[in-house]
Amino acid sequence: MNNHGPKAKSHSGEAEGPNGDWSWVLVGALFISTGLVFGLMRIMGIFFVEFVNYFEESSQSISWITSISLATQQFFSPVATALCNAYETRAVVMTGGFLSGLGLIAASQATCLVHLYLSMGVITGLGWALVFTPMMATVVANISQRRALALGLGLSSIGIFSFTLSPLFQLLVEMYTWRGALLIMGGLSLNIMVCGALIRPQWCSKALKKVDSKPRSSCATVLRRVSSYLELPVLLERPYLTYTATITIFNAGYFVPYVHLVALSRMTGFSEYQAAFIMSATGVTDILGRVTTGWFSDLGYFRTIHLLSLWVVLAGLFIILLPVSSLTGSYAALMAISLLYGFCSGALSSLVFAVMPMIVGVERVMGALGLLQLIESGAGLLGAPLSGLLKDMTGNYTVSFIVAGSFLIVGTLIMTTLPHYFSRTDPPPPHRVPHDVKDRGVHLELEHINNSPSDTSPKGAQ
Amino acid sequence: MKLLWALSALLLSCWRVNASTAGFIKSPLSRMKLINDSAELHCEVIGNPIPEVQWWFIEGEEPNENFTQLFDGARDDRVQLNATYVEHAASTIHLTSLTLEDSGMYECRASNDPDRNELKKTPKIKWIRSQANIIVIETPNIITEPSEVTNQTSAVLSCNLTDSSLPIKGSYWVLNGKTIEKSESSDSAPFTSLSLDKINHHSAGKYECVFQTEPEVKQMIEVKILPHVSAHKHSEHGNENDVVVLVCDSHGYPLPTDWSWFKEENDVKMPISNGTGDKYEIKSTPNKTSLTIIDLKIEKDAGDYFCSGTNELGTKTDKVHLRVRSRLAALWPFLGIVAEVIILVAIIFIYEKRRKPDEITDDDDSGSAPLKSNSTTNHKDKNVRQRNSN
Repeated sequence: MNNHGPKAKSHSGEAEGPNGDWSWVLVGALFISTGLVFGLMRIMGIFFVEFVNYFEESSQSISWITSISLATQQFFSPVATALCNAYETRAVVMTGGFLSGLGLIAASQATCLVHLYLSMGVITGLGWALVFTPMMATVVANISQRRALALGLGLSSIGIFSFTLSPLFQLLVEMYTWRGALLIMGGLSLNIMVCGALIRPQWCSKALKKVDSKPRSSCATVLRRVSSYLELPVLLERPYLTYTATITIFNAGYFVPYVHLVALSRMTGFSEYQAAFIMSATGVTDILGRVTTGWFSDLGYFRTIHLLSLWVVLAGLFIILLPVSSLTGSYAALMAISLLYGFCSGALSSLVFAVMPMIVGVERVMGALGLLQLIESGAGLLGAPLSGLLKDMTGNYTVSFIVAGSFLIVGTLIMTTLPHYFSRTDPPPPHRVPHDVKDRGVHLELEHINNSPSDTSPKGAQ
Repeated sequence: MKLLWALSALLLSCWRVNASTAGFIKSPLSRMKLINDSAELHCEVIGNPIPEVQWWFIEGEEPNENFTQLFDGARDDRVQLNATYVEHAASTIHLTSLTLEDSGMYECRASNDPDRNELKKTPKIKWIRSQANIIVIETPNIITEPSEVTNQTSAVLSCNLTDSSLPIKGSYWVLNGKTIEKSESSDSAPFTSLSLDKINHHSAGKYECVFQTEPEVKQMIEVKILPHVSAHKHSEHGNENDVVVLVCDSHGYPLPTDWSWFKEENDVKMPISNGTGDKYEIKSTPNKTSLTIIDLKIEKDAGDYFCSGTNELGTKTDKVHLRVRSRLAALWPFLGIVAEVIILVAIIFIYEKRRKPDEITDDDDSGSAPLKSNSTTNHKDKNVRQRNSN
């Protein structure tokens, strides 16, 4: 059995550690594709002024475009991961890239607001769904040596892209009108297809299961296959449910400062530029947090899940301190707390994905992440309006920020109920019980993929 | 019989006690007013039954007084009476466009006596009266220096209140209806001045010096400059076959009475008039003008446009540069990006196809013999390998 070790390495290709040149290419692909998804989503705001003038609609109806695209992306995540389980990830991501580009190109020809909702909202959102979660899951499943760092680097692109593309697109709108700029944005989105092309076909671990595809397609078999693609059984496991509940509660509070920080600064009495500067500085520490925590987590001094709890508690604390520091009226205090918050929120957002394989196992990460995205989207949709409502009721942001921060802290408390939370080393991740003799060999291989980095190497106590 | 008389006298006196005589709860107050100003006197009377209120004007001294009753619309409609009789009587008299002849004693009379309008009885006995004086004085002369400021970069405005015996509590300055901060002084001198260091479109307008007397007296000095004309955007973009609106604003005083637009062609400014061939539309208000151009064409409509605002002092112009963007301008960068994407994807696929056969021979496989096959059946072969190694 001991010759399975090196063979296990060769199965996942050159994704692991020392032979990891191609794994860095994969991280680069994640970097670009995530940036082109969420970075572009963040700078959609540049077009809104143009849309309000051209279509003569209220800014609220225009802001529905972002909401629709985000909701579509999160809602169709399980569908995207199921498609990856059924077919090749590469095909899914390339289709996603094509769709997101197509949506933006169609938007450039829009003649009324509904066209924008359908093209820039639904089609592009669908494309992004087919891109983001599959790419994330591919990186998580196939990079085990420096997983958190890879994720941190990959996700840092959101901040970097929105920072650099923002003035670029202002210029493009000036030069080519919004139609021309949207056309170019669509072209840029097509680059996601390049990222998708970089995914090697054998990396999709579920593709191994295609071996036992039977020609008979009775209703029961089809339903069973579909539910296995969607990873629905994972919903019945307590660890996954606990973790999902935790992340959902995080989501309810996590976005609040991004939405309301500028308004809070303006209410404290600072000028528009000072408020905008706080947001930009927070964005920079966000990027720093993602990369730093990735590197630190991979050093192995602490378990990833402990680090995640730490960052979440700190982020919650800083969110609660934000209105307190604004009460003192000092710009330096508000800036300091915002920077610290930015760091912690960046740190926790990349670790959220890194913890998943330890809860459901590497081979189920794809479907599990898809379902997680869908479930957490509900909280994200509710979080910002809830804090807005609290602000309307009480007249200032203190209560809404305190509630948001407490969501994060409550979520951490729920996270402590995960099994083996308090043990010093990672427990062996669960794997599916094989229902077929043929699969047993596969199953043992996969167990080695899961166990080898964390058990055998001295840096294993992640 | 005597008992019956006593009883009826008692009842009568009781009934009379229920009826109360009229009494003032608010009396009119004396006023001093300037010519052409307006004045108001207010009077409220309580009683049971509700008393009637009348206003009378008294001229002359005792005993040769002249009484005139005032009605709504008297004195060429300059007198307005407003009375309500709900729970108690309240009456207000308004006098507008005061003249020197309106000076005198005004009397508010009230009575709830049922016999009050009997001509056979003397009115004084049944009516209660309350009096107030209205004194109308000539507007005191305020000498302003200078009387008007035109086209200067700085000035000192001063006001001198002459021939007035009214006590002065202080003075302040007002610009366009808003009090100027730090111009207030509690100096009781009849002289005040304001210095304007920089006269621009912010500080031009109607200045008034106000003396805090009873009543307040003021005089206006107009500070006029050339109109300050500025375009909303000095560089505008329009799309081919689309519509663009060029806008110019003006600030300062006095606002332009005339606006005109010009287009520069071959160094000559061609005037644009409203409705030239349905292409141009000009809409102007004193502080803003807009030029709407429809159906933009790249060669003909791009260039410099000038808006001119004219007021009584002169004309000022500003320039707007219009650029017309072609519809297809963005197509070239887009096609460039699409070409780049296609090339990169092709390179990746070709690279992979070339590497695949080499990869399998390089595999470190200690368990079983390596199998040479192409990439599509790769994973199936790997499974076969596993089973063999078991």
